[in-house]
Amino acid sequence: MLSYFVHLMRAFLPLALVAGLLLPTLRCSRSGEPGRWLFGAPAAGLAAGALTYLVALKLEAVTASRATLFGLGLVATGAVAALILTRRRQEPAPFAWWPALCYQAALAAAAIFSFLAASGEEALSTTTVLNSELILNLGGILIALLCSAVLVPVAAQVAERSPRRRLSWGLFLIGTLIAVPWGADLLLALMRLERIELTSLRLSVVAKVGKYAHLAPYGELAILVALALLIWKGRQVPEHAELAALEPAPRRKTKSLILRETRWLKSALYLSVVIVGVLAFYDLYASRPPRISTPVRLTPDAAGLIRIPVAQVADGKLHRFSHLTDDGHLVRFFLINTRGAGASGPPRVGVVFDACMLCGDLGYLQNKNEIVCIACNVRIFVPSIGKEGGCNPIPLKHEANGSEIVISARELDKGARYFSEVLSIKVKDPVSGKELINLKAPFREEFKGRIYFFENEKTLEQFRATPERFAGADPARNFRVQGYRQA
Amino acid sequence: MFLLMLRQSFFRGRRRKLLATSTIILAASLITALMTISIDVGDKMSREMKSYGANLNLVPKSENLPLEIGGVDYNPLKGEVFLEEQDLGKMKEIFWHNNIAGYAPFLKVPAKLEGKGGAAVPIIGTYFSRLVKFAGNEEFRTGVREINPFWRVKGNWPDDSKTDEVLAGATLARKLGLKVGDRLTVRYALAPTQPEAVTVAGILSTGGAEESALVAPLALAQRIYGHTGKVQSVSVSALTVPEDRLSRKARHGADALDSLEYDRWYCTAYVSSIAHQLEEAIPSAAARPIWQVAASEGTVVNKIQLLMVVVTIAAFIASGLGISSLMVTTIMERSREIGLMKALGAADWEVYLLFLSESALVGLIGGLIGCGAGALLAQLIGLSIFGATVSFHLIVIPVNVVISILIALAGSLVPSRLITRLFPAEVLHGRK
Repeated sequence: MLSYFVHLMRAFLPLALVAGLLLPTLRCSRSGEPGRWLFGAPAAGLAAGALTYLVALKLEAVTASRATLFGLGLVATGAVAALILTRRRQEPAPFAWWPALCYQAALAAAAIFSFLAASGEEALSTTTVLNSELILNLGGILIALLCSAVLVPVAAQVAERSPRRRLSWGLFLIGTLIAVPWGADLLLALMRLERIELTSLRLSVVAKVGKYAHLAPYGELAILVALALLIWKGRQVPEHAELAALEPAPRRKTKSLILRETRWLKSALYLSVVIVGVLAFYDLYASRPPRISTPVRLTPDAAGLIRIPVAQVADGKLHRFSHLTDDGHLVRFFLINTRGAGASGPPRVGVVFDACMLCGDLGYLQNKNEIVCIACNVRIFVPSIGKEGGCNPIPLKHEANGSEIVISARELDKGARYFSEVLSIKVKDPVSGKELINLKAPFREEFKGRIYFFENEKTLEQFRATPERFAGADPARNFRVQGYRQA
Repeated sequence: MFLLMLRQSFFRGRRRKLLATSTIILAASLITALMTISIDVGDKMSREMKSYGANLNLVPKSENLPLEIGGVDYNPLKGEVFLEEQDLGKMKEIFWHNNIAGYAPFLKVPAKLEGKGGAAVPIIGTYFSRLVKFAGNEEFRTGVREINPFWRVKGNWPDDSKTDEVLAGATLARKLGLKVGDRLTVRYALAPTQPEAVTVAGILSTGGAEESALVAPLALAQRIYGHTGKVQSVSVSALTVPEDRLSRKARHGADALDSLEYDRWYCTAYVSSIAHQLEEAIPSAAARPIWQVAASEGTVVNKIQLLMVVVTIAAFIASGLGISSLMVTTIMERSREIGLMKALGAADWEVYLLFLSESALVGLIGGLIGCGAGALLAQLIGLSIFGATVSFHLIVIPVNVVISILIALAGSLVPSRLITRLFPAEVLHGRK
């Protein structure tokens, strides 16, 4: 339910705000027959967007059509911006009308397209029979639609009471918040479709925008709230004495006007707070993937061995540990009594890397008695932990001598490339012996799956010429693509 | 001010409001009743689809041929084709072998008792809890105790390695007066063979067909039947991921997927892909997931759902029309009041709002009462169709209230247009 509400709200919020804020301007710029066209444009946009999505899905060209749609939207944005900027002082001319309508249509098309694309990943219902989940999801959609619909008049009231200049600024900021993610998306699509060259600058711009794009709705609502608060601050409420001095009829009229204005402003505030609250709850809490427990960092003894008493891990719970390799890879592994807590007989401890050959290093989670692979959501049959195959955690070679589990750091190092987490540590240049920080080292080279760091190009060249001389004779590290290796 | 007016106007014309409310109660209770049943089954089905464990049934391929006509099985090979017991180990060699949590083979033998009037008793041979060895010296404990943790035994579970201990199903034990420790002699019912002496080690309650049979170690059943190393079906318990879009697509057969989807499907522990891999491992077998709710109650519910849509539409139209005529009378009666409001400066929409909120309130009350009545009706229907009461889901209440309010609003929308046509001067003078 929540995810549908959030998807729809995110998609339709720009449309609702822009349509509402533009409403008074458009209404007074064209006298007579105000209503019909104002709703016609978004409606046409919705239909066009939905149709585009369906066709794109059929032709498997979602990326291309999204880019086209956003491109058209950007053109409309540009046209509106140009008109507003050039003719700031005059009343909007009739020809400003059409770009504004086109802009709304583009917003509507983009809204329905992104909603369908975002919710296309999820199923509205798991069965064809009516069930609670289906009703809740539909309820989420309806409530979000209602919120968007209410936002339109609320925004229109706020716009009506704002001075022209401030309103233009608000619209400009909202337009920017909408246009920037569109532009980034267009850029990414053009690079993916190989229409323009892929450069690291462009890619980093796209990545940065993509990372913060989910904050745009908060910004848009903040602008609405700011406009409402500015009106609140700037308005002149007559004093009691002033009111008392008025004739009864004008007094009632003034009172009623003030009451009405207060109500609109309050509803703008409350609505924004509620929407922001729900979005924030979803972003900060509900949509987060499950987290693994923090691993206990272990350091090997002088002989390069890690010893863990069996009694410590025999309680049937998942015990997660980590080991830091000398090039900064954090290797996670866990131990679990595969016989369960209350079983008879000696504990049989499964010793495994906290990574899956298929799904990668997201790790495993203990949920009551079940061990779940976070990446693919499959439950792991606990007695089989320690065996290879399927989505089982990758087995870790170890020795069990009755009361202790002995793991050598060398075996852990072999599995370092199953994990992607790298910490900043001090390393040595293998050629010159100079100390460096691994993440800041100017040069690096990979050999047998290990990363070596160099202070300058000279030592790097020396290493490249005869890597065996500097790297030592340790066997190569394993990679997931190689599959299970026989020891 | 508005609330004050609403409150005053709401308590006028009570008889008519009562009539309108009861129309809505009728419609709402019908919709609630059907929706309660539908949602109850729908929720059970979706829980089943989303669960992490599933059971599969493995039968010989030829037995899987649908030769059932009018509920009678005409398959000539029924009960005559078997799976090899030794093949079952191959199940632990598939890609998702770690997700096979357990399995139990079954062999059903028609047998009769010596003494006790030669009563016919089916014997079901299975593993109770047996250590099975696989390639690579792997050990694996499996059997009905592992895959059916809800089976209850009064007495002791028999030992798989002995062939003279059985469990008696609870129904059978009641019928024949069997007790723990009784000694029985059984033999194959269809041909004269060597009789076997067995001891009843316990009384078994499962809630299924096993309750009216003797459940024996597989080896004993095979010996009575004279088919060594054969089984008829295998129940497999697998750890799976919940069904989603991809697995629903795959349900139309693996051909419906393109190669990328096929790879993803094959490498995800859906119950359907595990079934597919089991069939690959044991070519003579057909594996089917058992969707218990979907199979038993799903078909009935599809019809109920259709009925619900029809009833909802009919109720919507009927009670909408009823309310509509009541509304026309109200507006006609109160036209002077409306004229006065307009004369005092009320806009059309403010008058609309008053009348529409009044009927929305009627819809709300009617919907709430209708929910209560419908919940009772649902129990009656549930008892007569499924023989069990239906649990009431709270989600029905908001849905029904919304539908009731919509009915009330839809009914009053058309007549309330009359309001615009009333001119204050005319109605106040009584000329119209």
